[in-house]
Amino acid sequence: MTRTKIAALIIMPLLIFLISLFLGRLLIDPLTLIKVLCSKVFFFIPMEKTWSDAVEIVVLRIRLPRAVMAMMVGAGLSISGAAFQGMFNNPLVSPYLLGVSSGAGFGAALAILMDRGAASIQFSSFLFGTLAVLLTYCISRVYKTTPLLMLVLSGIVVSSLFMSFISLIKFVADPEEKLPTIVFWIMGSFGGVRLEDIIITGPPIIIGIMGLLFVRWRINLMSMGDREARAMGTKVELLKVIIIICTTMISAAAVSVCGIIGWVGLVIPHICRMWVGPDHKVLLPTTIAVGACYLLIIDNFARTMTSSEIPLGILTAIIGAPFFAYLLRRSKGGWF
Amino acid sequence: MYKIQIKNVLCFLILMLTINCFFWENMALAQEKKTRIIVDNYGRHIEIPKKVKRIACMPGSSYEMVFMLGGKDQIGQIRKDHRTAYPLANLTNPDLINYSSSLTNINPKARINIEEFIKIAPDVVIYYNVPNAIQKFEEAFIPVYVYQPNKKSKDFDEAIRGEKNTMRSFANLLGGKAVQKAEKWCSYYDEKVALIRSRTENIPEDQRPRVYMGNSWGRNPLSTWAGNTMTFAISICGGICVTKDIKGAKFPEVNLEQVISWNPDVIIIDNHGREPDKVIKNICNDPEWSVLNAVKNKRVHRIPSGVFFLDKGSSRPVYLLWLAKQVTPEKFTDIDMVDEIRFYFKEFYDFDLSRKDAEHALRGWDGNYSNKKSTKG
Repeated sequence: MTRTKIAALIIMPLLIFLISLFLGRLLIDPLTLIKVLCSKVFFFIPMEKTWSDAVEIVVLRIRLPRAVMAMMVGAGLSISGAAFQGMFNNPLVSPYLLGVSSGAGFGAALAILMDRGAASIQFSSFLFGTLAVLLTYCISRVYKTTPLLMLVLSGIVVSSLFMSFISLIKFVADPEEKLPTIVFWIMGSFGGVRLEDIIITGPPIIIGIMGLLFVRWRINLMSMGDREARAMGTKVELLKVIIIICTTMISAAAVSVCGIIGWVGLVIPHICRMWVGPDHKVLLPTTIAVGACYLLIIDNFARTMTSSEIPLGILTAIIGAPFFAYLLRRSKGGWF
Repeated sequence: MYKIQIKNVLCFLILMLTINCFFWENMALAQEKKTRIIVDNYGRHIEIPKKVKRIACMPGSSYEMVFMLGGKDQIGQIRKDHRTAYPLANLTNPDLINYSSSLTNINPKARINIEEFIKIAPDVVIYYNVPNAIQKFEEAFIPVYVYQPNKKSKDFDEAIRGEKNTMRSFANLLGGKAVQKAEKWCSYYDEKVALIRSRTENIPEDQRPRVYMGNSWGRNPLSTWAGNTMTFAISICGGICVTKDIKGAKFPEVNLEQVISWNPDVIIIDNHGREPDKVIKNICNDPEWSVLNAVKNKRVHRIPSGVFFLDKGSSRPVYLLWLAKQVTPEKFTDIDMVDEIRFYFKEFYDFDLSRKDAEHALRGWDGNYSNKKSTKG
């Protein structure tokens, strides 16, 4: 990897992060905004407060947490996708393969149906997301090993089970009130993100990302297949468990706070692979930067295009698909 | 020439006579079966028994409207939440617990189980405008009265005309004294709207308070209301609905930044969620919401409780009066909502609402849905 690439990977997210602080439904004079930011960054220099409370709250408590959350989730989902694609040696795998999203979706829908508050929705969705993956893992366990095919198949079983639970809840839910909430929740949005959410969901996502980065070199071995990896002396089962735990932590936390955001975990790894090649040692850090940028850009569209929020699930593919199609045509598929 | 004309006239007469006969026959049949033909809310002609005795009230506000029109003894089926979610419904009608609610174990707008309906054989089913359900009812020869509460209308006058027509059509369905009551209600509605209009009409556009409607089913009211019904109601009450330009979804989600950029002067919270009071408390204590004019000036209000939701069904005139008083309080200082709501209950539900209960209802009766369990049975 060249130095320019490394520099781009560091500067790009920061730049987009700064730009997104300037975008929003409330018109804020850029100069005022810079002042607000400076007053917080250089808090030791006394500065006259010339802006209203509304501006400060919008910048620091609405735009900032939202941008941070979008970046964390984007980074987390992309790196999980890349790790899974390496582990399963399959380009069609997404971080939701083992049923975490349908489990988490079910948990959230259940909490919404039972009229619970936002905190319980998050907790219940995290809990069921993790439970679903645990169930998948237990089903696929054969003689102290978990063959990849078994994992994939039991993931499908558990996913579809929880998917029908979600449908059941949608069927029972009040069509006027709860159904729209459930549907909107499942389509994903960062609309409700607050400062506290980052404190709650930040740690699992960051720990998960660190964990994956830690084992990233060994994923290269895994992508040669279970038997070869074992022959090379890798503790395959342990590695699998670590990867599954990390990705589950990331995606359950992400889904619990902002709904099921598809596409990112599936496609960002491919885009990165086209760019830096299939070596996971380089690929995983790249997905963090690109995923963070991508989801942040998408979220900027979601919150500024119209006065009502546009669900992320709609935008990720509408904006991402043409771009990906273009890359596909250009590279002629020769990167995996 | 002459002959041909006579021939023509004769032919015409014979034709008329035959058609007439057909009609006579049909009417005779109708008389024999003791049925009558009415037009429902959607403009369909339906044949119902002369004296309707067992009505299945499926859509939300249908029970309340039938009850208001004096059709208490003509109800056979109600939705389960009619007696669990609205405390005032139980208070005003002691018979409520005796009605069957066996048909509504699941979401009433989902696919119906037609056999359940056939088993119970109601005289008429009041149902939503769901074409495939209606078709099923028709195939089973169950008269179905299509009720469409939120029709699209151009302006407020058209909306009110629609509501009055709905009420009259309901009265037609019930027959008897209901017809007079519906007329009384219509004139009451006109009177209240005229009163509100006379006081708010001349408020210039730039002095109108900006109103935000929030739903109470989350931690904060970021899912809002959109649509003409809401926009018209707020503008008649002297305000501007900030979400008036949102098209599409009925309950769109917005973000806090958008709400801050609207900076509403009044926030109205509905009763649909679990704990509206808690939502109000949450946003009043939240530093992020505190920058809004409405929160600063303590103008966050909760819609009062009614026999059904106060803002739906027959109680809309009272709701509009209440809303006007919240939006432009200075114009309605002489109006005492306790008196108004008691008058409405006496006059239309034939129920003496005590002062204490009226005040309680105006405060929202401690949360409609949270009372679910305590009012059961």
